[in-house]
This record gives sequence, structure tokens and C-alpha cells, in this order.
Amino acid sequence: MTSHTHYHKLLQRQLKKVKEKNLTSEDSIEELLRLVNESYESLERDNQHLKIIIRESSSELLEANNKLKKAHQELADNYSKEVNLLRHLIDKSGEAVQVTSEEGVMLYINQTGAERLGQSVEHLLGQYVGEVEKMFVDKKDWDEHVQDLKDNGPMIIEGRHQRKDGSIFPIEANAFYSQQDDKGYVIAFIRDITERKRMMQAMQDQHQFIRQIIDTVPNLIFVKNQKGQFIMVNEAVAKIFGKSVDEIELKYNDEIHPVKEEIEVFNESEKKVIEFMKPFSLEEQFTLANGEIKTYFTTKVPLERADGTIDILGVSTDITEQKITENQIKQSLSEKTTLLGEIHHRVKNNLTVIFGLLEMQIIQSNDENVIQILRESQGRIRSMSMIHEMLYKTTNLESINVSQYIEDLSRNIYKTYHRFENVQLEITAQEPILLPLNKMIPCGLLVNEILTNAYKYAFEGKTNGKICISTQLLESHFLLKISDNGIGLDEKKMSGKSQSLGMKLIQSFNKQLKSEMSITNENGLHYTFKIPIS
Amino acid sequence: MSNKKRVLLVEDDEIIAFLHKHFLEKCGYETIETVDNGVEAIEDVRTMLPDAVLMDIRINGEMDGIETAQRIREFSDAPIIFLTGNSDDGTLERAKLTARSGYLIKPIRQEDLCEAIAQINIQND
Repeated sequence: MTSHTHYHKLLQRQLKKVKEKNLTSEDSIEELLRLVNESYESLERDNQHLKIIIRESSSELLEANNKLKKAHQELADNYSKEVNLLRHLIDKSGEAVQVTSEEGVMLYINQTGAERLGQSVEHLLGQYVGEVEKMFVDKKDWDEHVQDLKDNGPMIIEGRHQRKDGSIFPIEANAFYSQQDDKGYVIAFIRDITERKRMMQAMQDQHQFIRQIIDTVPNLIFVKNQKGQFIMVNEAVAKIFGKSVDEIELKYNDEIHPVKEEIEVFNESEKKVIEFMKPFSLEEQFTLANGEIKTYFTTKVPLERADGTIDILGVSTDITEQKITENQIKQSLSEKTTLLGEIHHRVKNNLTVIFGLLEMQIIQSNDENVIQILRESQGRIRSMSMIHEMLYKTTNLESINVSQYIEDLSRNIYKTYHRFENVQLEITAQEPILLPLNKMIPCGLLVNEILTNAYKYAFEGKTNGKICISTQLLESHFLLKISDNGIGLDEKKMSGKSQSLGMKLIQSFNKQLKSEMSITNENGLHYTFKIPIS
Repeated sequence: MSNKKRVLLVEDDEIIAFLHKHFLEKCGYETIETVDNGVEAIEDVRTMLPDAVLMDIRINGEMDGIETAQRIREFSDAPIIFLTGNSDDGTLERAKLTARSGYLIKPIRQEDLCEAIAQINIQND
């Protein structure tokens, strides 16, 4: 209870007592006055106290109010900063931002958007959106667009904006519909896609250019995946299938080509490309729709795509004409080879006839000298005949394995002079040594002459002997050695006026062969010839 | 009837056939017929029953001398002497597969022919 309330109650009680007792004594008045004074003093104290309290409370309130004002100011400042920042971001984001009323009136556009249109923000605000977006020139189109946004939510659309100067540029807008306070708005973030469109056009032009090249070349160009589907084909491929490019792409061979055997060849080669990851070339046949069979030389290579998958790139060249020509050349060559072989056979037969005719003369002659001469001629004919026989029998009509020939010839001559049963024939032949025909004839005659002379003269008065023949390839030369261990040759017959016919012939053949000849007449005759092969 | 051995000559070159016929006569053999192909040779062996056949390997027609000889061997034991070049081992090996046969390398001497036939006849006898 406050003091003034306490004194107020004491005063009321004293006044009641005075009234009840009708007191008039000075004491009572004194008492009453005292009480009044005390009450007054108490009231004064309470008043002072209240003043202090009020003063203190007012100060607190003032302080709180100041704080509140400050906080409010900070909030306002922050809000302003954020708004400015957002506006700055929106203005400088590079994207045009546009807010349009549901009715199509532009309510907001940022600086970027306005600049792109070549207009001021102020000029644009309040204008109908169709003034800048050609898509919405007709209000119905705008209404449809708004309805679309309402029904389907945000969407990306492409349009064409018109600048102040009338020029048009392509845009892409992320647009959505929003409703605030019962009012509808279309908010759009709009990008100038001129550069993107230009790049796309450039890429498209590039693609078309490459496509034009691919379709212009007469070669077949195709890409298949590992399943065997055509991923890409050029016009040349489409043409041989008798279909359009679109009809072939994503098709398998067996869906568009009826010849199974040919497909098997295609598939087999493609398997190899994938298996070995290496290019593979082959000749392929392809039957056209009209039954014509084409031959292609095809190279297939593994084609690694950006995503890591491996496809097969194939390039085929039509070699049908070349194959026909090649076959004609082969046939012509075969005919000529056959003809040449036939000529050799005829020559051989003619030599056989001459040999036979000489044989008839030998049969009819009783003169040993004549017989001897005829036999020598027969030997020379046989050495030539054998060459033509070999040429006819072998595929190579221009050169002969000289080692084999000398071995055959030597054994044949040995058989002719079979009365020399005790003369051994030893042949060491290195094979193969090919000698051209123009060298073979003098070489054969040379060997025939030396061996015939050896059998005729080397072993006179001897009971046995040995003839050694060796052939060897010495770089670009053919080394021929013929030796016997007979009685040797009279030095007079080696050269000069008394030189034997046989020796003359040997020297003549040697000269024809352009060979280096050396003769050793010691413990028999030893011939060495170094004959150039070419 | 002559006692001379009768030989069928199969040779497609007329001059060589003439020469070989002459050699055969000198050897004491009678050339009963000269044909230039395998079909006629088989027929002649079947009908004329020669004592020996002198068969060139390269003759006219689809059959060569070796194939002809093999067909002859199906019904006849007549000895056959092949005439061949010397450089073809494969041909010689094929020829050697024919039973009761020998071979001479062309060009031949009369002496070699007589010897070859005599040898074959000795073997047969």
C-alpha cells in the first residue's frame, strides 16, 4: 500500500472519530492537522517518487523507440540494397526480363531487354507485347500463349523480336504464368539467340556441305553399327540398293538385299574389322536389282565414336570394269602363254623330227665317221630340244632352272655313251638358278660339247674315270665347273691352228655367254665358267 | 601270217610317227596301226590286240597318254612304252604307276627303242 493511501485512511478515521465524539478540543484539531500534514508530506513523497518512476520510464521508452527507429532504418537500407542488387543483376544479367500483364501489356522490362530492342524502358512500358514480339502481333496468339502457360506451366519458346529500326532477331524465352492479388502476369526471361542460330546454321551448312561431298562421290560410303545396321549411307549406296537413303538407314543387309551369299561375305569382313580393330580390304560382289553383278573393292575400318562405341566405316569403289579388263588381260596373257608354250612344243617336236631324220641316216649309213658326225649333231640337237621341252613344261616361259637342266642333260649324254660304264658322273647342283633362254641355248651346247668330248677322248686307254659337274649361284653370276680325271688334252689342240673343233665351239659358246672361262689341263681337263645371269 | 611282234603306235605328230614306225620296223616289229588320240588307241587295243603299245604322252583329245594307258590296263596286259620329255618328274612318276610299262625320253634313238621293247618283252615273257 502506498504511503498517501495509508495517510488518507488515517485522516478519514480521525475525521470519523471527531464527528462521532464531536470533538473540538485543540488536541483533536492538532492531531488532525498533524495527520493532514503527515498525509501531505506523504503525498509529496509519493509524488516525487512517481515523478522519478515516470522520468525513468519515459527514458526507457525513448531508448526503445530509438532502437526501433534504427532497426527500421537498417531494414529499410538492407531492403533497398537488395532491391538495387537484384535490379542491377537483372539489368546486367545478359538476359532480358519482361513482365507482361495477362492482357499483354508490358509492365516491366529490364535495361538489357530494352537495349536489345533499341528502345528505352519508359517507352516500352505500357506497350502491347506484340509490338516487339512478332509471334504475338495478333492478340489471339497472345491469349493462346497465356492459356498454354496456365494449362501446361513454364515453357521454353522461340520467337522473333523486332527492334526499333525494324530489324528482327531470334529469341528464346523461358516463360511462366504467375498470379498475384487476383491479377495474372507472364514473366519471361529472354535470350538473344542470334549467335546460336548463326552457329546452328553454320553447322547445318557444314553438314550439308559434307553431305553433298559424300553424296557426290561415286564411291559407296556407309557406316554400320556392330549389329550390322546401316547408320549412314550415301546416295551411291542407296542407288545400288534401288532405294532412298532414308529407306536404308537403320536397316540390316538382309532386309534390303536378297542375295544371302553376298551378305555373308559382307558380314564376315565386318566381323574381322571388329575382331582385329584394323582396316580390312577385300573385293566384294553385289547383285543389282536388274541382275547385273558388280564388283567392288571395299575397305572397312573401325570407327570409334565420341561415346566409345565402335562402328564400321566402309568405302567401296566399283571395279567391275577394271575386273573385266583384268580378266581380259589375264585371258590374253593365258592365251599368249599357251601359244608360246605351244611354240616351244612345236620347236621341240621339230628338233625331235630332225633328230629322228638323223637317226634314220645313221641307221642307213655304214660309215663310222659319218655315224660319229651324225651322233654329235644329234647330241647338239638334243641339248637344244631339252631346253624347249623344259620351257614348255614350266610356267615360266622365259627362264629355266639351269641346274636341273644340266643335271638332266648330263645324265642323258651319259646314257648315250653308256659304253663308258666305269666312268662315274658326279653332279653337285645348287638349286634353283634361273637362266634366261638366250643364255640357255649356248650354255646347253657348251655342256654338251665338253661332256661329249670328255666321253670321247678323256678316258682313252683308261679303265675307269670320273666326271664332276657343279653349278653354283655366285651373286649375279652362275658358276659352272666341269672337270674330268682323264688323260687331258694335247696342248696343240687347246689353241692355235691345230685347235680342235670342239674347243673352237666351246670358246664360241663362252663368248656368246659373255662368261669368264678358265681351263686347267692337269690331271684331266678342268673348265670353270663364270656366266652373268642377266 | 607274220611272226613279227605287233605294235600299236600312238603319236599325234605324223612325221615323228613315220620315223618311229621306221625305227620299229628296223627293230623287227610291225606297226599295226598309228593313231593320234586316246579313244582310238583304247579301241584299237581292244580290237587288234597288239603285243605292245608305243605311247606318246602328249596326244590329241581329252585324255593324255598316261590316262589312256590306265584305261587300256583295265582290260589288256599289253606292255606299254611311254615317250616323254625328260624334265617333268611329275609326268614320269605318273607314267611309272602304270603296270607293265617303260618309258623313253624323246628324242629317241632307234637303238634305245629296240632295247626298251626287248626289255619289256623279256619281262613279260
